[in-house]
Amino acid sequence: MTLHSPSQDPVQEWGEEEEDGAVFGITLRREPVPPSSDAAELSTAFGFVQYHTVKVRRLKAATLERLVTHLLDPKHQEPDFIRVFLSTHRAFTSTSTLIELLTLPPVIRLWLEEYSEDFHEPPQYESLRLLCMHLRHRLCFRRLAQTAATLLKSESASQHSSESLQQEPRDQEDGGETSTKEEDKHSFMDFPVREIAEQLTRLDSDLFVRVVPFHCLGCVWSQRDKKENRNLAPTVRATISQFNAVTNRVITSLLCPSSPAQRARIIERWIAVAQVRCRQLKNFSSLRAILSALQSNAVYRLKKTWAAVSRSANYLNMLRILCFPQWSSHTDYQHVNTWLGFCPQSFSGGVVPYLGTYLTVLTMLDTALTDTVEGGLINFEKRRREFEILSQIRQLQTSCSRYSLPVNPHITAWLQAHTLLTDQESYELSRDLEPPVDPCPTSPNSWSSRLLTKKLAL
Amino acid sequence: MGSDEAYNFVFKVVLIGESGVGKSNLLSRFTKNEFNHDTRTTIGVEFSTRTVQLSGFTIKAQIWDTAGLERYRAITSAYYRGAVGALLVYDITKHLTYESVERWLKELYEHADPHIVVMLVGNKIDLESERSVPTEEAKDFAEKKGLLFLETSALESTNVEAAFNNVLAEIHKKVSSKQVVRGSINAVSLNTSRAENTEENKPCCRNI
Repeated sequence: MTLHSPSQDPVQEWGEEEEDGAVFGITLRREPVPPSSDAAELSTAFGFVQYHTVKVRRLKAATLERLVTHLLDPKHQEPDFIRVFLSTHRAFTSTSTLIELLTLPPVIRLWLEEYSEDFHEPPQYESLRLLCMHLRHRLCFRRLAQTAATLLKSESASQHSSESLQQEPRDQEDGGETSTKEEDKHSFMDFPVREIAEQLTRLDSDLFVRVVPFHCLGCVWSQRDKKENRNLAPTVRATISQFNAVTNRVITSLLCPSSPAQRARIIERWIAVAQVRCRQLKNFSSLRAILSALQSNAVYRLKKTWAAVSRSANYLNMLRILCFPQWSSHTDYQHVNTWLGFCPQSFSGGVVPYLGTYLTVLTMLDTALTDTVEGGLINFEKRRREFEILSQIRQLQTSCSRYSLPVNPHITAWLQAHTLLTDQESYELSRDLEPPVDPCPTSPNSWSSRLLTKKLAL
Repeated sequence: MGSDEAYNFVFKVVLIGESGVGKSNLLSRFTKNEFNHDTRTTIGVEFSTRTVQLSGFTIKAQIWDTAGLERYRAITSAYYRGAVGALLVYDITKHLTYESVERWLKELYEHADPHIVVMLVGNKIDLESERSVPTEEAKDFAEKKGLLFLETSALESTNVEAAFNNVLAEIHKKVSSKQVVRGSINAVSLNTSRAENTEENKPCCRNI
């Protein structure tokens, strides 16, 4: 006798319940009744499973005090609540306020162990000191006080090394670096494609694992352009500097005096680095950076060069889709996105994502969902949505420990030491190499492309 | 989202303007927060789409916003390519965002198709009491530059539909009247500042 589970959705939105300072979302879920000994006999005898309806409450919005009370009430809590809270709390409160409010050892332990980036506040480490002080005052916190003190010690000790890291990122806007001799000694064409991709992946993953997921939240990252926030989210900016350095490296390697055929070989080689090696290594950051460089105005316009690029590989089709999305159907786009690993569903090795995807989604979430709901309650549903994305980032960060890549100092030096060109400079160099020509019938024109769109769509 | 419904045209429209003027808010309103329902589907899709009906045609609008990506240089450099419409947004309460409109126009005309349909959008009219850019001033400017013009409130959804739909209708009008067939660039009045560089005015040399 076979048993069929009910075909209808086992979870049903039921409504909301309001309490003082909190709004709960209620869902009803049908669950099989766990077989007690009597029931088990019955169900084997009659071939049925008993279901009962479970009411599930999910905190949707609340005052800060209520959120903290909920945090301290593990019995009535939804499974991910503490993690959502700790991942996102700085969007609606400060670390020091939270220290004052918290009184429960397991929460503090999880905080110290898994979200210690909250306490990374060199040089004074105010919050960590405050926490140590709080913990020392109570007997039951003795062990935690030790944990906190150890963290404080290791934070202070690593301060020196992290300081040197902060100076390391080559932020292009701050500009002004010049080429070194390293660049002249080696040529891109001499390096094995695999090793270039490996060094890129090593550099990218090192920076990616240091990203503090919280920095990616829209409320932090979208403030990036305001002058007073210039130092915000340094870990995110470091990955973008690296991304820009890669695109710049690709562009400069192409814009040196050479024939179109020579440039075409360089393009093919970069495509091999991106398409074959970066893809194998699941380094979607450099993959995207290289493809973006090839689409940049300065490189994209090199018509003679592109004409000499081998058409054998299928990358041209992919470039077409990337360059002219209006030519392609949505399915094409999804295909490319999956291909580029924007939705990495399964991964056994390391993965370095293109962080921009997450930054956009988090910016849009921050735009579309309000911070507070009626009555000034903190919109915790928003934080739950953001947490989904942040935990994907964390998961990918963990995956990066599976990389084990050799260091090649020559290639690394070559990748890092190079002339930085502004968009204008590279555009001018590009025009020197291949001066603009008269209008030509084969050039891509967005208006004429609509006809193609029409053909594809109908 | 994600269904491949039949459509007659796909128009790429870009959102530009200073940060904080509410570009993402306008987009979010127009696409009705669609990504809201299933975050997963939008991961990796850099633009939002919405299909609209215009005089019997189905038009798919792909609206590109640089949300969160402003510091990726190469990504933003290819942003304008293929765009046939642009919403140039400023904040009516922040005069500086209006003053930078001219700079944005220059950048747009340097990198986009010369026939691009541009609308000047004064956002945040819900903050009327803090207004620092008079409607007439912006309207005159838009007229002089040959831009469409509208004031909106993304917060209250005022004129958001109209802004996007007017741009799409204008693009459609250009496309159907064959105004933009190669070689007929004079049919579209161009910003005078661009005449300095005649080469830049040739439509199909623009991006090659």
